Amino acid sequence: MPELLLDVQGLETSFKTSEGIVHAVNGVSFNLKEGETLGVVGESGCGKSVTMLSILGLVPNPPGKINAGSAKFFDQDLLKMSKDEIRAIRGAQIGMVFQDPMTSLNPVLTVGRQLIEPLMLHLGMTRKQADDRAAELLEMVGIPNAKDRLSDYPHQFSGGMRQRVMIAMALSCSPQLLIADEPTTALDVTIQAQIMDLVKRLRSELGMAIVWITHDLGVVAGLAQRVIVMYGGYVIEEAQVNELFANPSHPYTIGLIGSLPRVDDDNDTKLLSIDGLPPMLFEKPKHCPFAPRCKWVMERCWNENPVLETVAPEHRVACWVDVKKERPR
Amino acid sequence: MVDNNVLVRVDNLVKHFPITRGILQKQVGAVRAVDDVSFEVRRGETLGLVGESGCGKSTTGRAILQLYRPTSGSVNFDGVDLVKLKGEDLRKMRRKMQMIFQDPYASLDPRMTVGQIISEPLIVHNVVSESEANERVKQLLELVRLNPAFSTRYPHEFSGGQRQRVGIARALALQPSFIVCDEPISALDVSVQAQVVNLLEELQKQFNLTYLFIAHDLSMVRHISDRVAVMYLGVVVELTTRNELYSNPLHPYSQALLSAVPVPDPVIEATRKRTILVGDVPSPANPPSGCRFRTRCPIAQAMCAESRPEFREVKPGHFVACHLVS
Repeated sequence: MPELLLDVQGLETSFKTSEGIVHAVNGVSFNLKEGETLGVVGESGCGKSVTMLSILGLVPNPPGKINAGSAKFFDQDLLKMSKDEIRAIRGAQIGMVFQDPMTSLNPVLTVGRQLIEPLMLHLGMTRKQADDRAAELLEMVGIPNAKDRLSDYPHQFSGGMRQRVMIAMALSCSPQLLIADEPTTALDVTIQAQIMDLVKRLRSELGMAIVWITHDLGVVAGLAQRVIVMYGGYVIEEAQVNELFANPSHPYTIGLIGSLPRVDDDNDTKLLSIDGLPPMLFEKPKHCPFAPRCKWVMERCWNENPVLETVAPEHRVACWVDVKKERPR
Repeated sequence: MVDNNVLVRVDNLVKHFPITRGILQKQVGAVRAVDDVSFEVRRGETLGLVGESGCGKSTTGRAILQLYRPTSGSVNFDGVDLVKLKGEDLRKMRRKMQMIFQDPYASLDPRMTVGQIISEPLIVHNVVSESEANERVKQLLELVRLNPAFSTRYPHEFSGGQRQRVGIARALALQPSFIVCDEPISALDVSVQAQVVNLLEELQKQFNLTYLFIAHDLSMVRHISDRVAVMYLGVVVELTTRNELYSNPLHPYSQALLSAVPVPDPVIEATRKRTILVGDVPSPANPPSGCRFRTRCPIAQAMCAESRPEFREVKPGHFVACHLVS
């Protein structure tokens, strides 16, 4: 039985803005086992990125504030750590890859310089050892002439190559956990396929656990073992990947899957669309956050916010309605 | 020969952007954004134009509408060669062809109300008086499913999907017959994309519109298009009907592109075979000799470097530019 690597309970994060307090994350709980790949799906503003930034201690305070919750990484609570303690874990035991490879690399430092920094800082390597290791890392992520390219600057790399550099950097200290926040969204599909292929290969070689944040259900289907779907700062559905796609149970998940045209399907029917817009989150909703857009909404949805309940083995849903049977749960 | 079913015919369209150097702006090279592209758009159809970033698909769309003047080639719109038109004659033609832009945040003037934005084309083209314009704005807002009372609001008060509807209303104001949709949904959230695509399809039926739908999302293009053209590095490499392209892609680039698109189904994803292309798209300022795709092509041979493959019809209605497809 693989050990529990990360256990997040009741995480709440809010941001103070000039227009009021935005409740970005409203009690998110999930866990991750060693070596497991978890997909986190949701639209912009659903709280998926803020959840991960909170866990990593990367939410700037002010304006951001973590109001409640715990995030156990092995036995330590990441949320209770001092800045120095969490810095020792970030980049070492937990690696990160962000969406935009252009803005997450320092444009005035060579790629080599940026790669050796974590190696010397976290692993205490000498400059010489770090240089050799950096070249190995670039080779590992499939960059040709790795040794020569260490002295190049980020602008000399293409978007896909830059994302490879980011992945090399994230994996430089052999982390147990890799958090990837929309790492392929800014890339073209053929380059996205290259990066996903690379991540799958590295996962089987290195055996790290991965949290993969995306809005693309296709990417999740190809990569994740388990998926959580987020909406309005809540986790609204959680299941093994096959179960989620075969048996989506939350009206939002059903809508999301239905609104996607498929490249392998010549069905000409109208796309299912979800009416309305995602919530603004200036108030913590007292009702189900999806109620204003839900087709199956009923009285109870406006009075009580549903909590995650198990509907099938390892499949949990936060909804008062059993959509398949069209009646309350 | 004039074919009445064809609304837009593009022949050997070329658009090069000069690269200049020094204070004398001496031209030292050119970005060959679009390099000899020919195709037709038939009346009432949606032609999808797909390709990766930098392949020239947006430049093609803009060069058709004469927003960029083509370097050479002709664009025949309803029997008139747009490339030869200028001044007032061209301005009059612009009524019939409109554009919907990618970024709903950048394409609406933040200092104009939605009513002013939508009525501007009507007033510029002297179609209606200002009082009639208000009435028309209300009709247009209703048409795109927005509350007519919103006409006094400013763009920042709307969400991305609503802004894109304003952009659609503006494009429809002059009752055009042809609309270039340049990645109209890529900036929107998944659940909102479907709303906008459904709206575009309904409007097409209602007004018999012809769309050139530019996108990089192959699944959405499959959904909305009748025929699809695939572009790579400034050239069209394959053009055929939607079903033919997706079930029987002939060009190695189309095959790789289709296999790279993830399918939202874990069972299929687990068994799918991918053609993964190596490397990146070469620079359009210095494209490879012969076939543009040969540097990344898994089946390239010596002849591919020597001559440029002809864009030819290999089956009725199925055009491919590849030496190795017979």
